[in-house]
Amino acid sequence: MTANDNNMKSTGGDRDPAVDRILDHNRVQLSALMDGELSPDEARFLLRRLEHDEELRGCWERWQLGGDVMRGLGGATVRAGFAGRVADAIAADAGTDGRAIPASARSRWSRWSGGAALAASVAVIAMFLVRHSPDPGAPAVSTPAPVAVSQGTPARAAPQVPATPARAPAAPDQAAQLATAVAVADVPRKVLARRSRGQSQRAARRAIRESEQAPVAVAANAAPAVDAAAVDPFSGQVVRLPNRPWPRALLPGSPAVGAFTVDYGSRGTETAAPHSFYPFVPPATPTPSDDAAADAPQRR
Amino acid sequence: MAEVEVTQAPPQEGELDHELVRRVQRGDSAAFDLLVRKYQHRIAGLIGRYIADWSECQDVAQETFLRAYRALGNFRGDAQFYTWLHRIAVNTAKNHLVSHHRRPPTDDIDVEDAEQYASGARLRDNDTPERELMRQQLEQTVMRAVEALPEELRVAITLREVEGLSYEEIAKRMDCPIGTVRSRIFRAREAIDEEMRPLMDSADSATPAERAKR
Repeated sequence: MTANDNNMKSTGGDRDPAVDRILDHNRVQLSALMDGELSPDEARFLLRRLEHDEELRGCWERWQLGGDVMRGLGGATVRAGFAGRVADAIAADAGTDGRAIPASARSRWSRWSGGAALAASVAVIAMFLVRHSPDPGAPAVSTPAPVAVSQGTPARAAPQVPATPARAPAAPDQAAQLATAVAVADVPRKVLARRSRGQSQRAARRAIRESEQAPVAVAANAAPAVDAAAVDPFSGQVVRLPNRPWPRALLPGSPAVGAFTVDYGSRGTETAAPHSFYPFVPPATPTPSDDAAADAPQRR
Repeated sequence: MAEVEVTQAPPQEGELDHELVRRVQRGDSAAFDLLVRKYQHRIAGLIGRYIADWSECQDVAQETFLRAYRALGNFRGDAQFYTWLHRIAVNTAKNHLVSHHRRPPTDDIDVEDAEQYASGARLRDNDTPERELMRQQLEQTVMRAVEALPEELRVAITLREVEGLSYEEIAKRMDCPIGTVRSRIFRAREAIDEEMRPLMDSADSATPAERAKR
């Protein structure tokens, strides 16, 4: 180490030596910061100081320019106060554009809000499609539900069942419809309950009571999927069809025995007319109490 | 102690730019002021290769930094900040020429080629006498100041600024502690700054035409 290394030069001649030491220390740190040789903590501290120390920023600017000139990059200096004019332009731009920082947080929030809006839109569309998805087996069962809710006439839903026996929807479809119906009916109840906070107790109770009728109506319209009514094409009578249409011969109250009904000859023959020709009935052991079984060998 | 040095490893110069960019992205516009002060001369020099008029060059340089500030939120740090800024400056200069019905040069100036003599000579022909005089004055002043430095300071600052060595490499080369390297580089900068400051002050107070008459 030479004598020059120990002789720190101060810029102010009549300043307090302690102040000079502090300023020198800051400039030494600034020199190290320029070279990327300052620890992160010290760099953070010095960058904060640079925000408020114009003299230190001037050092930063001139030292950068000196380095550029030494590397052969400099020469074309800008006007004095160029950085200040850029700062003014940025401030003016922020005033007209309504933003104080470059995209950063704003774009991040807008990205989040855009994504949330998109997700909400997809959810609404999906919910709409689930509720109104055309079920080829039971179109008349699912569609009247919202009509019945809006009109408040759930009793009219039964005549809208088609005359031909419809295939009942599968169990998951029923569950989805019921869940959707309950969810849709539950929303106005919550909304009304929220609105009624500012109203009188009686008005709130009445509103909740009215809203509670909605899920009943929806459920009543969704229920026929479980126990649908149909008109017997042969007898002209309305019969109640249970959930599972097949084998119909096993079901009570259904036109169990007919020309086109398949059974195993085990039941349903006691109330029906005898078969005219039915070659596929397996031979059954005749019992004295079973008249139909006694007729079977005669048909053969 | 060794662990502390590892965890407190000094950031490289590119890292310093990225740290400043991160600060700007968090809303610290003062950090952008440091980036402007660091690169304003280099950007003005680059734009001066496209645009001859010195006053226009200043306006385009200002527009470059304004655009960079607007777009800084989308800067992810994949590239060096100056490389990104260089591209903005070139595009801004070209757009300026097109908007003024002037034909921009067909060949771009890459960052690596920006200061090569072959690509720079053609465009520097457009320099006004004032700009040329100012450049020469500044270069002569800095070189004179470097030549006047004591040997150990001149070697330290040259190894750092021209050859781009780290403090550790310079310490090995000069066979001295890192703290001494830090001190020597700092004092060399101070000495050069002492010579530059009068020139910069006179440049601040004088118009380019006045400076050309001197």
